[in-house]
Amino acid sequence: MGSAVSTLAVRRRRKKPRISAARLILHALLVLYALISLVPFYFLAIRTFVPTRLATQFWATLPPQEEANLDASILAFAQNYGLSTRALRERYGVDDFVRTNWSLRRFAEEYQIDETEFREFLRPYVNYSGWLNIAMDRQYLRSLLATIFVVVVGVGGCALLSTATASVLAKFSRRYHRIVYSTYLLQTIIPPIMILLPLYLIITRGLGLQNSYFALILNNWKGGALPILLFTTFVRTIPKDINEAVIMEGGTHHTYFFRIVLPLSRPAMAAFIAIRTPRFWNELLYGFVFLNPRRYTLAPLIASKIGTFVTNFQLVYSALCFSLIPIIVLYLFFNKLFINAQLAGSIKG
Amino acid sequence: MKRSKLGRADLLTELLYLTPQLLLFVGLTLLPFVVSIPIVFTDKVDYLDTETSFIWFQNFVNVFRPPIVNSFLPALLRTVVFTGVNYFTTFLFAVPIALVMYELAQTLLKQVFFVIVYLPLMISGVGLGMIITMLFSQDTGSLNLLLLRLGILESAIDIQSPDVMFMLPFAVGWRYAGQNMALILAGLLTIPAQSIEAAIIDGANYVQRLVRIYIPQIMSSVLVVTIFTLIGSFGMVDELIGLGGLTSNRNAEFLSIVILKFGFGGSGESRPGALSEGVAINLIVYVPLLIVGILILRKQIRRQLDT
Repeated sequence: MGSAVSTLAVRRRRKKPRISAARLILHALLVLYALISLVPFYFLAIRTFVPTRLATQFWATLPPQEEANLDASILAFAQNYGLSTRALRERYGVDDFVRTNWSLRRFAEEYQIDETEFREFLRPYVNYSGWLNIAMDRQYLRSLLATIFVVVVGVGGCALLSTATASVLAKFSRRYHRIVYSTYLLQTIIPPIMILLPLYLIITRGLGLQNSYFALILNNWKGGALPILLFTTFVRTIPKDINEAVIMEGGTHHTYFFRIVLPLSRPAMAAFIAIRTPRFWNELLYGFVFLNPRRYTLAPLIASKIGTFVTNFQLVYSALCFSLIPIIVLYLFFNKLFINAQLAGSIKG
Repeated sequence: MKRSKLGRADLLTELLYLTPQLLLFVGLTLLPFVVSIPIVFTDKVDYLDTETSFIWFQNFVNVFRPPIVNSFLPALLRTVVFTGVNYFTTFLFAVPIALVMYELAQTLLKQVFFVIVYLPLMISGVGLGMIITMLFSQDTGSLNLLLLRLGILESAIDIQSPDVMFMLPFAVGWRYAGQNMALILAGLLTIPAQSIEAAIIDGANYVQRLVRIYIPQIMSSVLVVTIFTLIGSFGMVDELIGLGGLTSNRNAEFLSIVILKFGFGGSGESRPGALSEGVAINLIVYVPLLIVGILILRKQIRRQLDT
């Protein structure tokens, strides 16, 4: 690259950046990296439309529409494409027990169903089984709502508690302020898996929060290095004179906290929410351990779809996409906030 | 007297603000250490086991004897190899991107790139494991199938083989590229503009500036990234679950998965060992790691407090 590439400092003084070969190469490399970065997302989107039966072939674009094989047994079809016998009974008004060892063709013949109509009914199962299952299975919606609840209450509560903690620690006027601050920073070097086994005992036996979303929420509320670092640094930017003025006018720490710190902390809270939301949205371990499968949040629900011997890839990838879409949309809307928060957090760290 | 009363009132108010979160933090982060210590000296099989007896240090002996050693040592080896490769790939992704970002002026392309480089961070750990499977599963991996079709690969990459120790770091490096880039970039942004200007005027080329100015300046960031990578690699769970570490993929059985199986691995034959043995593995591996972490972190904390 040599000196052809100027530095940020020198460049600031120039009115127009010089277009050099080195600069062009750097831009080309950025474009290449960005494209490579997007490839997995592209393949993920395509794979949600590739039936598991066709998964052993390479698909760069959407595969052609498949017809249902009517000679397949109802059981095999149900396993591969998620067709429930209840859906069959309801659709064709069948009161009897559906014999899953029958072929689909025999089922159609027994109940005098038109073959063309039957194929039409089965077509979405063959081609979009992943998305169809997500739309029909209420556990996905329940899980999405649970995730939103845990993230909103967890991140919001953590922001509030951390601001309260920071309003005291930021003074660094007493010896114990430094000790508490350092204790919080310790959290960066404690891997969650290390404390998981005894934590399970405390949460379930000690607090009786087995299968409760509050087990996850409390683990968010406890804070840690990042929120304390972020909010303490922020509170320290508030001029000391303001605190002194509040006290001179007969105010207390409550006045200082509710009238000054909280209203001024909005940018820090926004930065914290931007950094923390994706992490809590994707929290797997605590959900996996503390919740029963029926109450899983999104990450553990998706993890539970990975089978030991049989995996419906189309469903797994659709479910992964389903969990990604909300957070990616949120990220794209607030990307500037997120990026600024990341950079600011790094500088402060 | 009046002053001391005021001081006490201030202290009580301070505690009112500090205590709620501090209690949670101590109870849910530090207390688990204390709770785990008595368990490690017992023969507690699982969480429901109430008839336990003290066996002192037997669990520490057991983890180095068959059958536990057969899962513990290979998992430890996998974790150590993965950590080493992951440390390399972390910088492989983060440093070049940070250097390029530092050199380029603010353009629309740079803004778009920022958006894209952070995008993988939105994927969950388990999702990353699934994406690796989607791309590199031996039979159904999209990239495997593409590379085979193009003739670039003679045989497919197999994520069920030890290849996973080398595939995973690249995927993790890709996922955290934005976050690690930000840490390195933060170090670069602290370089005084005059130092670089002076170096350019003195005829220093890019490589000389890199070696003499940029790299020394980012050493503090490198330290932070080192802590995150070291602790993150040893504690990685989600990605391994996504790769089938809990189910069928033996090569995705790193230490964290072994500990998880010891703790929650069901009952009877399916359980690889007792809960207390899992806690012993936990202490053997993570306490030394914690000490290393504290030693590295101490300097950072002191710097934080001084500023």
